[in-house]
Amino acid sequence: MPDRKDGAYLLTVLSPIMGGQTQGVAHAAAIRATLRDLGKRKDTPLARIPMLHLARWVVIDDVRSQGSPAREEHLRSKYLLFTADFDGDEPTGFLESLLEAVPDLAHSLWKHCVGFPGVKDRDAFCRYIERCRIETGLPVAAYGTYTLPEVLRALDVQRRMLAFIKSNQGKPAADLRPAFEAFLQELAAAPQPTPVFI
Amino acid sequence: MANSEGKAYALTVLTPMPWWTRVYRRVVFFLIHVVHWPKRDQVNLAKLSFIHFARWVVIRRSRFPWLGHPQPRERLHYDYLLFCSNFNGGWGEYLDAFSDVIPRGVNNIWRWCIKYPKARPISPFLGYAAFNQIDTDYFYNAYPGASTRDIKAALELHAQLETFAKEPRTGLSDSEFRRKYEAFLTRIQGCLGTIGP
Repeated sequence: MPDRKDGAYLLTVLSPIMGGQTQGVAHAAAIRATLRDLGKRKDTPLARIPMLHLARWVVIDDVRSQGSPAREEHLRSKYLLFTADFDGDEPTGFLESLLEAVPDLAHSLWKHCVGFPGVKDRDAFCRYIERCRIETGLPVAAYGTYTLPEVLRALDVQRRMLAFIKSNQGKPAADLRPAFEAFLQELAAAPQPTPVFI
Repeated sequence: MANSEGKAYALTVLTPMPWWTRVYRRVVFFLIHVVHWPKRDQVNLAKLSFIHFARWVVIRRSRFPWLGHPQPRERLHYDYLLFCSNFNGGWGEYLDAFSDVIPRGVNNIWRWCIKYPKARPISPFLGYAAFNQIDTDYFYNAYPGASTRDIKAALELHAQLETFAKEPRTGLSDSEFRRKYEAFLTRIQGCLGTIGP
């Protein structure tokens, strides 16, 4: 199944945005405002989703006309594109985590989309996303065999290793070994790094 | 607009293609994804190490999601090829590398997209990508301070350290341990980049 690459799932969702306005603002503009506010926050709430590597939201207003002799055509709806790259074989676990971590954000975005059932009924939300899901044709994942916790752990180990090497350069051989043993113990006791720590 | 987050850039490109080319594209995707063809392009792309995750998605003209009334059904002449890439480095640098290193692979994927100019020469290719790019409204990256190369290096270092830590050290003299430690450092010296913004 091309949505999967190694141990990663590449989800692509295209949700039609409602026409008309809400409180005098076009629905697409309201989505953009929400995303703009989200981008201004120093702490991103998406970091609470433990398997999510990368994600994006894009408002697609229309397709681009390529000029003559190509046919000019336009979309009859605007769409909210959501892509997410996460650990897993299928989207249900991720979607449940999404609703658990950022229910208000999910609601504030998809409430402007046609057919959105809300976030209280998880099964209904998953069915809605499935209706809007577009299957990936060709996925690429540079390190899809590693989970997000493994990647974060490796980055943390790399950082600590570099510090250890710097602080032990030129140390007598008799001191190096206990220092290394202590370093291994420090690594074993280190907490699991959280997303966006680096 | 939020195309960048830390070291990563989120590129979204949507290009029209004749509907009858979808079978061709399905075959190309199968060859690349399952058969790993052409091998040389795949090796070169892996060496470049600048893509975190990427996807090509064919949106069939009749399969734009329709969720019922009051949404109007789309009436489109073309299918659309959606390309979403998360990479590190600059926009031009990335597309330049694509054009330079795997032009044949890029051409295979975008062949017959409307007005696709081919990967070389570079200027029309960059113009085509810029014209069809859609800005990202929000981009999330769980490791903004790390490039793809940083992550691959960190994973390699972690694996090497675990192997070294498992090697028996009891019975070694201090100088023997030092020699082993220095040999370990030599093995990981290419994995010690400084990560961060």
